[in-house]
Amino acid sequence: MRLIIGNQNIELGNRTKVAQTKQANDLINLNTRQTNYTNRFTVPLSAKNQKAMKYLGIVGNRSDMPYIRSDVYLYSDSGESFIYKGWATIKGLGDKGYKINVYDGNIDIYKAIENKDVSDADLSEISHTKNVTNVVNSWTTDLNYKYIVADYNGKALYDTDKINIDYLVPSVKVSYVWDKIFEYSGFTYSGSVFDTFEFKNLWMTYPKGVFSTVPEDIVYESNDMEFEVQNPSTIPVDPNPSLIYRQSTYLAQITNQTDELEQIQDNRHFKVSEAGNYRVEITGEIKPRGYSFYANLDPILQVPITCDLWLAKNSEDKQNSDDVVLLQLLQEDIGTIENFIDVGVIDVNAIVEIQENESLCFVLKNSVSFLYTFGYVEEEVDVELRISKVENEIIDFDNAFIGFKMKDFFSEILWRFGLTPYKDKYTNNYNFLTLQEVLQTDNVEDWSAQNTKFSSKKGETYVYSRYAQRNVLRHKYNDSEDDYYDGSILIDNENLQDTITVINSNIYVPEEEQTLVFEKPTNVYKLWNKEIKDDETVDYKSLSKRFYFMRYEDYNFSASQTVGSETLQVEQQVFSAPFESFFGLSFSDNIQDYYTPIYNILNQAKIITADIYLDEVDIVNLDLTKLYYIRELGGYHILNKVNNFIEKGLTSCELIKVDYTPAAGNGVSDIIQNIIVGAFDLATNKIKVFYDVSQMQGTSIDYIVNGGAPVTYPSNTGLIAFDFANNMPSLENTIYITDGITVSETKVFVS
Amino acid sequence: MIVDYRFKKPFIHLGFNRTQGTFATGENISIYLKTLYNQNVYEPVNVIAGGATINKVSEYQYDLVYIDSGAKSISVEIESKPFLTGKIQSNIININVENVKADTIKVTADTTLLTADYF
Repeated sequence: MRLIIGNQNIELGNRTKVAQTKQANDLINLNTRQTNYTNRFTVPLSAKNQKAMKYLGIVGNRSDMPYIRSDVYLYSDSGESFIYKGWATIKGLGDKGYKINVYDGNIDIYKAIENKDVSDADLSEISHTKNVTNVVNSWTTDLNYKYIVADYNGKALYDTDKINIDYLVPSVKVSYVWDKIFEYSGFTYSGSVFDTFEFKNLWMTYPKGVFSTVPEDIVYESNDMEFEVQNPSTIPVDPNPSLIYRQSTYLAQITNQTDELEQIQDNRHFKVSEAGNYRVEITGEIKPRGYSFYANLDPILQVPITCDLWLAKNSEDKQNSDDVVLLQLLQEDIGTIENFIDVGVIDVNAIVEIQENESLCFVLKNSVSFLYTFGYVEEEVDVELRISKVENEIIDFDNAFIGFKMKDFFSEILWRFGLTPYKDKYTNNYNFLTLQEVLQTDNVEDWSAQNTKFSSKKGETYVYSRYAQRNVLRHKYNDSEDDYYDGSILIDNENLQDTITVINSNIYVPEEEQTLVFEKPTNVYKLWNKEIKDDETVDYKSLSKRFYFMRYEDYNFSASQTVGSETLQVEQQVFSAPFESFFGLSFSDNIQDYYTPIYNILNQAKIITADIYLDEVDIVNLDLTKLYYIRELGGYHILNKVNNFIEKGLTSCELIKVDYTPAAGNGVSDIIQNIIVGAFDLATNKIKVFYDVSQMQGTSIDYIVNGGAPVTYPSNTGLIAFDFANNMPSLENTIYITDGITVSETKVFVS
Repeated sequence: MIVDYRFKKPFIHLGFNRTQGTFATGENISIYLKTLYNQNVYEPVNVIAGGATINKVSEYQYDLVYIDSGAKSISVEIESKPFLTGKIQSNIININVENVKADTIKVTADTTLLTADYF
């Protein structure tokens, strides 16, 4: 045997025994997958070995061999490769030498992603700004993220029926994350399941409620504002030309509490220090007053007037507000002259885009200009002004997935699809198979005694001690007492304990009840908590560390639908949107779709330990995706584990029997009418199979015994006769026939 | 039990296990095969969809387009020669293909074919 560690040949002592255990998926453990490993063996402290270990153990050495990955190659005496590019772990140093374990197979991918977060895979290319444009774009473009419409327990609608993106979160395509993890690890993957609808339409939410804007930075605040032109102490007797046809006034500061502006000119013009979007909030209660003039221009009457509040820019040169170019109407009809109700409530909340070196000003303008001239403004409640910088939230998936381990994500996918990874020995590819696909293999190896393989059965067990009568696959819930989406694999074996949880997922599931907040019912994926305050307003608190799986389905609205951001005050019309679906995502669904073979095996559990004669070639070419036929054990088996192969000879193997019995409906019934077994000599029986010739076409018939290769019988007369081994003791054998079009039922005969 | 899985009947759907629907002429219709098969043992899936242009996306997804309207049936068959299964028929998906209509909300059309009626 030849051992190479880290490109160095390692001398093996005469007594060094390297025992190899091979396994991929121990059906005793549903939640884990296994890897190949050796025993802990000792290599002598020869000069060559010390050098290969970089003098590990010598006083003053700085060897890093115990701490790094060292590639391992193990060859048989005949040069066959037992282990190709495995992992060596230097466990210690004893008086006899270095103690080493070697691992290979599935360990590679697990080691590559060990202790790594999903964020280490670099998802930065899908970072984006959360705004209406990007949300809607994710609906119409094939991106790796999508804002799937669902009730996330936030303020899903505003203005009665507008979809509010402020309380939507993006979901990332699971296949994209899967690809990124493999890209990071340096491995490739294959498997049918990755082409299915169920995998391709699988998404994982952002793990926390995220608003459309970050907390806003207040750059100006004053609760001491005024509308210029105050109430005159006396009513002028003579006409005052300066009042004639004046229609507006500025909003100006008296004092302020916060001033981080670039400049305030004349207390009226507010200039910000950097370009961007700003929120302007103006509140207060005022009584705007005008003067009513008659032909002689004497101001006779002070009357309540109705005003509009406007925003303008860059008007520092306009001393008279009437000369300002008004840009944006902030609020109209402030104050009214109807029914003598004349208090105007100001409540402005607007997003304004400001360029560099632009200033803002606010003008209150008489909206009934041809009747009255603007007089003055009385304040019932102080007028306040606040200007805040608004910045869009940047969605950073890398940041969101910090703490979410790649290994956990990997396991979630294996659990949901019942997958086992099988690493190709000489490449970096992992092929993922379900148990069903393994059972469909035609790659069968005959390990019967006649092929000098099976030697003896050492034991047989019927109870998987780690299972229970009810084996639960458990989700994560917002209420930890819930279990409505959990699945169970039931085993009809009274000798087992009652219940055990075999899988504990870290992925949350939606609430049990759907809501009708949108046009169609949707599930609730809680990423916000609602707190109703004393004044009955609702406060939304973002939740975190909650990953949900979901699918989406495009939904066409019955009419044009508004989608927008209440915060950013931007909206758009759409006709369709992707809505959430939890279809096929509960563990109870997963069990039905992917765990039926495991259920069948567990319910007729027969775990056989047998001594099998294995040589180096068997180990080198060992394929755990094969089925192993052993006549002496009555049929086909999955090879669960090869225990401690040291050298050519008898090796203990753990086999799980898989019944080769036809289910009702498979193959056409009542074609084989009778099977007669007649002794010919001590070693041979003559088998005659009588069948209904009317159901078989063609000139020849194939017969298949014990799932082996078809044997062609050259005529189609209703009788097939062949020689067969006379086993001592007798064994059950199966047979079915076919003409290439019709396949018969499977029958059993004893020989 | 092994025989169970070798003769497993394929299940196809339009997404979400749906087996019926209404589509427009010229519209892309995705058909998904849900049942998994060992790719080393089974022949490529044969899609039976008379009158459709079939684009194979993968062994587990096929995109169909019908130019003619009417009731359509879609199925697939799969076969394993080593197991001598013969052709195993899937379930049948029944769809209605309708000519494109213009309505007050939305007109759907593609660049190659636009049909409209006067209703």
